[in-house]
Order: sequence, then structure tokens, then C-alpha cells
Amino acid sequence: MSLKRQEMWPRIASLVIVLLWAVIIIVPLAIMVSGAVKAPDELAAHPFAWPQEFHWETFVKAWTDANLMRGMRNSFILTSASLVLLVFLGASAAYPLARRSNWTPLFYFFLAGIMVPFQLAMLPLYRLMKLLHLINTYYGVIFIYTAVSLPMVIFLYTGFIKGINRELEEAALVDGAGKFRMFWQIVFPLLKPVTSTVIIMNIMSLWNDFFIVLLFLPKKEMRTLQLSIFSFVGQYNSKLNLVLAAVILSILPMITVFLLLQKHFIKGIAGGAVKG
Amino acid sequence: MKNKYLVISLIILLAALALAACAPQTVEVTRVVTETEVVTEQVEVTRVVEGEVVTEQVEVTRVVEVQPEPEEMEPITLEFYHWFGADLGETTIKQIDGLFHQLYPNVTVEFETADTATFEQVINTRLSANDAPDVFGVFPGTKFHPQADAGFLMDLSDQAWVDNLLEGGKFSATYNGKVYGYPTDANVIGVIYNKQIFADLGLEVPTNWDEFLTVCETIKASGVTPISLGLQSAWVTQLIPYAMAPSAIYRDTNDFDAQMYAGEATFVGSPWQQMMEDYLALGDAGYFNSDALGTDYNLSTDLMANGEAAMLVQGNWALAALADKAPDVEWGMFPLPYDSGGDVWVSAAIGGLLAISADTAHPEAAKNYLDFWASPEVQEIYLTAKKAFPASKGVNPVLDPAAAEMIPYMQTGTYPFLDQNWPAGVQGVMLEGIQSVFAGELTIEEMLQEMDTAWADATE
Amino acid sequence: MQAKPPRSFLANNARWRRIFTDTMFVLPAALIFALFFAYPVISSFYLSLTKWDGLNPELKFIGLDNFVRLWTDKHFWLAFKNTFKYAFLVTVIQNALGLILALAASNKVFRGFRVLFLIPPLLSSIALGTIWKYMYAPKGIINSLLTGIGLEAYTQNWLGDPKLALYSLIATNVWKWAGMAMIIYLAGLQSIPDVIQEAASIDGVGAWQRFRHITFPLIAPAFTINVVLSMIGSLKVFDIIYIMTQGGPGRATESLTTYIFGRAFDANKFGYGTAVAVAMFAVILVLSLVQLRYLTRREVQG
Repeated sequence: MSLKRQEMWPRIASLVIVLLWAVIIIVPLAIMVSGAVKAPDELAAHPFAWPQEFHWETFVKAWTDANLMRGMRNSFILTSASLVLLVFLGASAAYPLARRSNWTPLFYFFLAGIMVPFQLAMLPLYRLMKLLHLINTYYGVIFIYTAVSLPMVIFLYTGFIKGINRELEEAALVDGAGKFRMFWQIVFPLLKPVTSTVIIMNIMSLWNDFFIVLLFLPKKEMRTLQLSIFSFVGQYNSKLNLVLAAVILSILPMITVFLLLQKHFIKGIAGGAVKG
Repeated sequence: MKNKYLVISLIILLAALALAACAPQTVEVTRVVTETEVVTEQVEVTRVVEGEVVTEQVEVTRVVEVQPEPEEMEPITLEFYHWFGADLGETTIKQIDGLFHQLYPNVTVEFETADTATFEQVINTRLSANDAPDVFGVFPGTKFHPQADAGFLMDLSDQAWVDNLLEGGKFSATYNGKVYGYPTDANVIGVIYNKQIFADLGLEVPTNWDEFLTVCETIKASGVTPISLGLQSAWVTQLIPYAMAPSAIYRDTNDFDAQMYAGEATFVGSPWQQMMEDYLALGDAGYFNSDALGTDYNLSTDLMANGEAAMLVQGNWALAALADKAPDVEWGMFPLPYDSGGDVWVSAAIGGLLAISADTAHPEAAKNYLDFWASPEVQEIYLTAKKAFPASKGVNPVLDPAAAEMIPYMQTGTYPFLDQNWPAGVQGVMLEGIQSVFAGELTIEEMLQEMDTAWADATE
Repeated sequence: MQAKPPRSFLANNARWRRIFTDTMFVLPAALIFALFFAYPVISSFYLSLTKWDGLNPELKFIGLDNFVRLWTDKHFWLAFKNTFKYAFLVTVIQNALGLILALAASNKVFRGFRVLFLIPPLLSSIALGTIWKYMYAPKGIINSLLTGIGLEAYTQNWLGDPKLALYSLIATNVWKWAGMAMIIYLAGLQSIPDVIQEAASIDGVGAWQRFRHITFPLIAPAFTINVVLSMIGSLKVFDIIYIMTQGGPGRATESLTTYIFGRAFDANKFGYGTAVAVAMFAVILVLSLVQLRYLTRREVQG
């Protein structure tokens, strides 16, 4: 009985904390949704009141006027390709960096990359991209996304690989598996939790990038979601309802991805790290 | 099992790269069709004819004729980059570019936009990497001078439209005797007011500062906020001084900026002191919405749209936002009557210039595009949408009725927005300074001193 | 380094083979990073030694003048102070909150909530700015709520008061990113075998004791990651400030990045702006290395 009571208070506290934070998250999000469904004159007159009329057609208008379909496709191409590169290059580079102390200087070299403001790279990078004919190509932006995000990815993987027991790897090597096979078959699956984290974190920055695509991918057919949404933002007169509707539409696919990852995430942890 | 993720990831990568590879690279070639379209509509318009405001009922007939091109021409894509966003981009610019494409079927204009701050970064980066868009917006006045100095802007002095420019337009597009851009529109800063509120309180348009203060007092007494002010948006803070300065400084001392450049004048000890004191006094008298420092431009227009405030010192560009937010309210506009013991001059300036990159691959198409912009038809489409004034002669846009009320006052005298003649960096210091003065963190003298320092710093 | 036994040729060969394999692991990442990020960054360091407007083909080399100037530039130091205040508070609050949320939401029943908490980081800065300006407006949501529950005396001019604006931005930052911190802590928490937790709770160890001696040491890696990421992220903060206050009112929320931006593009002092960026990079680098040294020493070795 005493055990039960001991467990009860933390649970109530958990519930309260989670619900409280949920409310804090939901209130601003509710403004976003209500701002999207209100007519512009109502939004100006009563920005915070419950909508008198629900203009769901704003979503349709946002979708078609900004060509969000095209935006989604382009954002998907850039984000997914960069993510795949980031996961594979990042995990594999992190392995020796975590395991061998003489690679530490290289680790710090990567790490320094996290700390650089992107603007510092902008000008020479633009010249380089022009030289390589990579402006207005998907490849160009994928390379930049990968290069800019790699430091953080390597930092995350290195940290987690350090925490994994070496015995498994050594056993596999004794079994005669090559080092690459050993890494991808034994170590990489153990990294699933951190891989999910890497994916989630980078989705957030890449899906929302505005500046890099504006600079390097201004071509109309290649326009991403964020550039498409910007077509509703004006210098003096923004179509706020359309902006908010477009933003909501743009994050829906990502929420779906998170829900899917969430399942794998839990499984990955149950089946991965604990074994080690 | 373990390989499953590897395989899935590789499939995603391949799919993404495949999509990337098969992305549409083709340029649409539209077949040339001969077509004549006649549009007739009855509209009541306010026109500016030789400086006079005329309201008339007219039948507008437009004939759109498309000539078939004699031979297939090489398709050209013109890249056009400008900071005007949703105000115009998706509708008006699309329309203009569509018409241009009809006229020159081999030329497609690809328009891209960003907010002004991002725009500046991108355009400067691309210019210095010699990869500028073919046509792009430049800010009028001193802001474009470094771009011209570096040789990135095409000299447009020989273009036909140059002779047609109004004096103000020509002035802000000219540097070292050469014209570097086509001025698209002129704008004014004035007091936008709610005509219903004025009528209800029996108020007349004030013509001098005392009358203006009386109007404010009357409105305040009725429980309505006299002036809606959005100081949280830094750029809004400058509008009242900009509206004051033409009468307070430049009407009597037209070479004030020249004196500044020569080191013979400073902000400290100039009429700026009095201007700022009067600006602050409006706040002390309770004529602004409380918490103006926490109110941004968007909220300041909301206050007007709701009828919570009666007046807004803004540019004519705000009229488009107000029309969206309160379609039924009737707005008027008059210059801020900061008379300083004389006639009231209006703050009026060019909104933007269209420039051509000096090393564009398509100079002819780009020049044609600017020519097209300079044609009265296109100017009228653009200015009607922007609710702005022409910068060229012979252009008679359908003016917004409120904006049109400013015309007679503009005959007295105008002076451009101040930063257009200032060295880089001074405006930013002023914007921060005004906010700090209102927040009580800086005195007016300190603010003016910082502006003097910034000026010296920029011209050293 | 310990003294090594003399190597045979064979052992040497094995060593080279090991280095070769390791290199193969690292090479693709190193190449992309070096070419598309490290090289441009390093080559722009030179600009910090010039007087340049960002456009003119001619750069004027002025040595370390920009850095000397920086030393006495009071606006730089103000931005510096704001940035570190911002970063410190964000790091502390975001981590405390992220950890509390992770502990609270570690139960599977809260799975749906976790996804909800990850929505704010998905919002682009345009959406974030729009929403939070409505929250902070003088008659906005927060003040209306305060008035509604009878706390009218506590209503504030959240973004307009220079003494408050920075804290308001910190709150927005935490609102946006706390969910992300939570997810990283959850990853750490879930790597703790249930067996250990259960064993401890059967032994009658109190919740706090369990956290202090069992949970926390094991989530130390997650702690390191979170602290480093939130610190670096907030030292580099630009979007939130730019979209909400543009550094205002006055210079109350001016950060190093907004200052760099203003110098380089508004005042056309690109060389000087780059110098500020280089100085900022150096400071963050030193700070992070020190922090990392300290944090990783506390981690449980695998």
C-alpha cells in the first residue's frame, strides 16, 4: 500500500504539469487557427474573440493561390534528401570521432561549425555556388543544408556513440564482420533514438528555412513552402488570414511525420539501447 | 530487419534525387495568338489633370491587341526581384508581367520578393558575386549610390522615359548626373482620418498646428483616441518627424543636408529639437493610444479600422490595408499641419526604383520591360493598386479618394523622406533613438547627438 | 600518452589500415562540410580586416582596426550583454522546463501531448511573430487574461517596455523550444533500463533521491546536448528578435546578430560587421569548449 501512495503524487504532479504546458501551448496555437478562419475585417476588429463565421475556404485559397502543392513537393525533396545525407554521413563520421581520441581535433573542427553564424559564410558561399553552377539546383541547396547541419548531427551522434558499450562491436569484429558492415548492422540500429532526434531537429530547421532557399533557389518551379507562404506577406499590407492558413497547412505533414516517428522512437528505444 | 531502415532511407534519397533531377527545367513557350479584346466599364474616377483633382463619370474602354510575332524568337526569362510583397506581388505584378508576356511572347518575367531587410541582404550578396537578377528594385536616394559606385547598375540616362519623369522622380533616380532607375511611384506622408468621426464631432480639417492640437483635444474629450501610433514597428516612429521636417527645416533652409555634409550644421541645435519636443508633447497630452511603444504598425491600423482612433500619421500605402480591414469606413487625408509659422509643406517621396543589372544577359528585354512599366497603361494599373501617385508626367491613375485629397497641398511644396538624402546608418540610429526617447531612456539632446555621431561616422 | 611497445611492420600495417578505414567513415562528411561551410567561413574572415561597404570591388585592408574599434564600441558591448543575458536565461529555463516536462511526460499515456509540444518548433518565424505579437499586444491575450482573473495591476506593455522586452522574447523562445529540449531528455530517460528504476523504488528510495542519484547521472549526455544546443542556439538568435522587436524598443533587445546585420547591411559597413561576427564566433567557441569540457567530465562513461 505504501508503494502505491508513494507513486500517486508524482503521477498527479505529472498530469498537472503536462496539462498546464498543454494549455500554454494551445492558447497561442488557437489564435493562429482562429486568425486563419476569420475574415480580414473581423480579424482586425476582434482578433481574440471566437470567430463569428468560419471561413474554411481561406485554406483552399491559401493552398491554390500560393501553389502550396508545388511548395510541399520542393520542400519535401530538399528536406528528405538532406536528412538522409545527414543521418548517413553524420552517423558514420561520428563513429571514429567517438571511438578514437586522436580524431578529437577533427571533432572540434566540426563542432566549431555549430557556432558560426550562417551570414559569415554567405558571400564566399554564393561565389562558390556560382562557380560550381549549383545555383537554382536542388543539389546545391541539399549540399548546403547538409554542410550547415552536419556539425550538430555529428555532435549528437558522437555523444550517443560514446555511451554505447564497445563489447558488442568487438564481438562482431571477432566474428569476422568488416568494419563497415559491423557499424551499419550492429551500431547504427542502436542509434535509433538519436536518429529520431536528429530527424526531428533538422526537420524543424530545414522545413522552415527561408533565407538559404531565397538566396540559392529563387527559381519559380523550385520554390519551397516558406517562399510560397511569403507571397501573402506584404510590406504594408499582409494577408494575415492567408499567411496563417498557409502556415497551418505547411506544418500538417510534419506533425504526421512526428506521430509516425513517435511510434518508432519508443520501439527503437525498447529494442535498442536497453540490450546494450 | 536491420537493413530495412537502410533500404527505406536509400529509397527516400533516390526518390528525392530523382525528383530533383526531373524537375521542370523547360521554359514554357506560349504560342502567339492574335486577339483583340474590348473591355468597357462605367466608373467614377478621381483623376489628377494638370495638378487639378477632377471627379468624373467616365466610360473606360480598353483594347488589348496582340500582334503575332513574325518569327519564333529565343525564349528569355527575365528575373525580377523586388521587395514589394503581397501588397502587389501576387496580383498586380502578375497582371503586369502577364501583359508584358502578351506583348513579348518570348519573354517570361519571373518575379521574386522578400521583406526589405532580407531583400537587401540577398541583393547585395548577389550583386557582389556578379550574379544579380536582370531587373530589381533599388531604394531611392543615397541607398543605391554604393551599388552604382561599384558599377552594378546599368546607366539608363538614355531611356525614352527619362524625359517624362517628374522632377522629384528624376532627382531621386539620379546620381553623379546619371539616371539609374525608373521611379515607379510617389508617396506622401499625411494624416489619414476617419471622416465619420470628424463629421460627428463637427471637426474641420486643421490647417495649422494650433488647430491640429484643438482637433486632438476635441477627439480626446469624446473618448476616442486622437492619433493611433504604432511605435513598436521601428519604421513607424520616423513618420511624424518626416511629416514635420519639410515645413520645419527644408522650407526655409533647403540646403540643410548640404550643410550637414559640409559639417556646417548638426542635428543638435537644429529645428529637430523643437520637432521632437512637439512630437513628445502629443504623447504627454494623451493624444496617442496608451502603450504606443507596444503597438506595432498592424495594430495601429486595427485601431483605425475599429474606430477606436480617429487619425493615423502614415503614408498613402496604409490606405490599402485600411480598405481591407474596414471596407465601409470613409477615409480622408491631409498633411500634418506643422506650420512653423508659414505654409505647410508635404513629405513626399519616390517609393522605389527599378534598376537593371549592368551585366544582365538580356539588356534589350530588360529595357523593354522598364519601358513597359513606364507606359501610362501599366503605370495606371500599378498606381491604382498601390494607391500611390505617379512619378511621371501624363499618367492619370484612378487615385484613391483619400490619397487624392493630398494633391492640392502638394502644390505648395514638398520634400522627400529624409533618409533618402542621408548617409547610410543615420536612419537606423534615429529609429532606435525615437523609441528610446519615448521610453524615457534617452533625452532628445542625447538622441540628436547620436545621430550626429552616426552621420560623422558614415561620412568619415 | 603511455610509452608504446615497439611495433612490427605488421602491426604498423594494421594501424595504417585502421586509419584508412576510419578516414573512410569520416571523409564524405568532412568533404561536404569543408567545401560548403568551413571554406566559405574561413575565407570571409579576411573581410573582417578590411574597410568595405559590401559591394565595391575594391577592399581596403586596414589590419586589426575593426577589432580595435570594437573594443570601444558601446553599442557592441550592449548587444553583447543582451545576447549573453538572453542565452543564459534561455539555457537555464529551457533546460529546467524541458527536463520537468520530460519527467512528467515520460509515461506512455502522454504520447499525444509530446507531439503537441513539438508543434511550436515547427512554426516559421513569420507565424511565431504574428501569434506572439497578438499575445503581447497592450490589449492582447496575456493582458486580457490577467484582467479577466482580476490581476489587472499586473498587465504590462510586454514588448514596449525596454525593461521587459528582452524577457518577453525569452519567454517566446522558451515557448517555442521547450518541447525540443523535452524530446532530447526523453531520449535520455528512456535509455535508463526500467529494471534500475524499479529496483530503486522497491528499495524504498524516494523520488528525489532516485532522480538525483540514478536518473540524472544517466541522462547527463542528454543534459550536455541540451545545454550546448540551447546555449549556442540562443547566442545566435536572430529570427525571433528580428520579427518581434527588431532590436527595439531603442536597443533594449539588440543582440549580436541583429547588430551585425545592422552594421553590415543598414550602415554598409560590411567589414566591420564581419569583424563583429568573427569576435562573436571566437567567444562562443571558447565558451562552448569550456562548457563541454566541464559537462562531459560529469557524464557516466559507457
